[in-house]
Amino acid sequence: MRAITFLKAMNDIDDSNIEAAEKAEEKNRVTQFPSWLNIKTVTAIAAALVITVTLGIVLTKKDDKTMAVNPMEQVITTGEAEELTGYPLTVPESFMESRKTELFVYNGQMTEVNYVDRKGEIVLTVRKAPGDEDISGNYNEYDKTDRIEAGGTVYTLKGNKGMINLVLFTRDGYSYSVDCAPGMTIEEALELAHEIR
Amino acid sequence: MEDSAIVQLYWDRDESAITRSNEKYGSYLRKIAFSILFNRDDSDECVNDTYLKAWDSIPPKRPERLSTYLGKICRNLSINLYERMTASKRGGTNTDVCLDELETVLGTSGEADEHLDMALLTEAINGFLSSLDSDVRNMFVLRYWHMESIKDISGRLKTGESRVKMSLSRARAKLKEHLLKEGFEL
Repeated sequence: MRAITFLKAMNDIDDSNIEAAEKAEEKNRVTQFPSWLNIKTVTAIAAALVITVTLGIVLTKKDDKTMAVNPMEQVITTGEAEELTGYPLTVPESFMESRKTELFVYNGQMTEVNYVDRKGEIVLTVRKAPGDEDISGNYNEYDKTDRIEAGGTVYTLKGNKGMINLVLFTRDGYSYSVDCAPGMTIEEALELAHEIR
Repeated sequence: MEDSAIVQLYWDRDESAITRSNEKYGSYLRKIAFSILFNRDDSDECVNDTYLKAWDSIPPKRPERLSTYLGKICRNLSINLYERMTASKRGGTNTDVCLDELETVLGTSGEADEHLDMALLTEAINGFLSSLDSDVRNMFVLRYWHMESIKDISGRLKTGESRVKMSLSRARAKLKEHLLKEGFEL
């Protein structure tokens, strides 16, 4: 049997199986909020939502149709992300062999951009949010941590085996994180960080 | 907007049905298509064609779950497009990796496929899925229906990549046994 035949037959499996898998995804995504979204913030957001819904206030408008605030929303373009967050975002279209593929906005505040290679693996994640906290959500311990100043910005570089896996910096009131699991050189990391606005 | 209201727009031949479908499920469908095709333009084309197929099929159909109804159309269109585009060779995309994995248990012979009853095969797959533990079933569906990468699945299910790989490997072996038992030629 050809594998493609099997994939085609998979198409019409029971809806309940498809939905159950998607719910598992949603359940997990709720736990993937960044570190800055602590219990106080969650409580405050929940309270604000309750009050807003109670008062029947329209939270957001798009094409004259009302929409509810989504804790995590996937968007297609950086322009759509900017509409939700209210701040500009500049990121490169590609990085090494990967391409900008997935964009998410968390609670209208933090933008996450994932770069995916041809095998579908996420090789780079860029995040931006207002403030100065570490928004990476990366709690790994690395062999080395350096702080380098370049162009008026202080970059915190973390990594293993001479490579950089995580870059953290703040600029103009926004916090940024650049998470690269395969690792990059210092030059690549700084060049990339410089491009991100 | 509720699914039932969107479906009613299709029944009323109101073209805003497509706009409302796109507002609610556009991202969901684009993700399904992109996971298979890994190309934004091709994915957009499949999503647009999905709405047209829905327009042509509702009525007479009245799907209860619009998400999976549209998702199945979109996935089907994407796989067909993928098959046409890669008729000569594969290119190492995520879909290719999924096919490689399945070939380890299904083989590569397509001789019996022409006479295969796809509805029966789908029924057998449903039977196989129901025999799996719910965690493994979710992994299997995320991998071979949604075409998610191992890394994404491990992240979403909060488990290690090695566990996902091992669970899928065992599930594929079980799939082979199940299909042989059901009388399918592999």
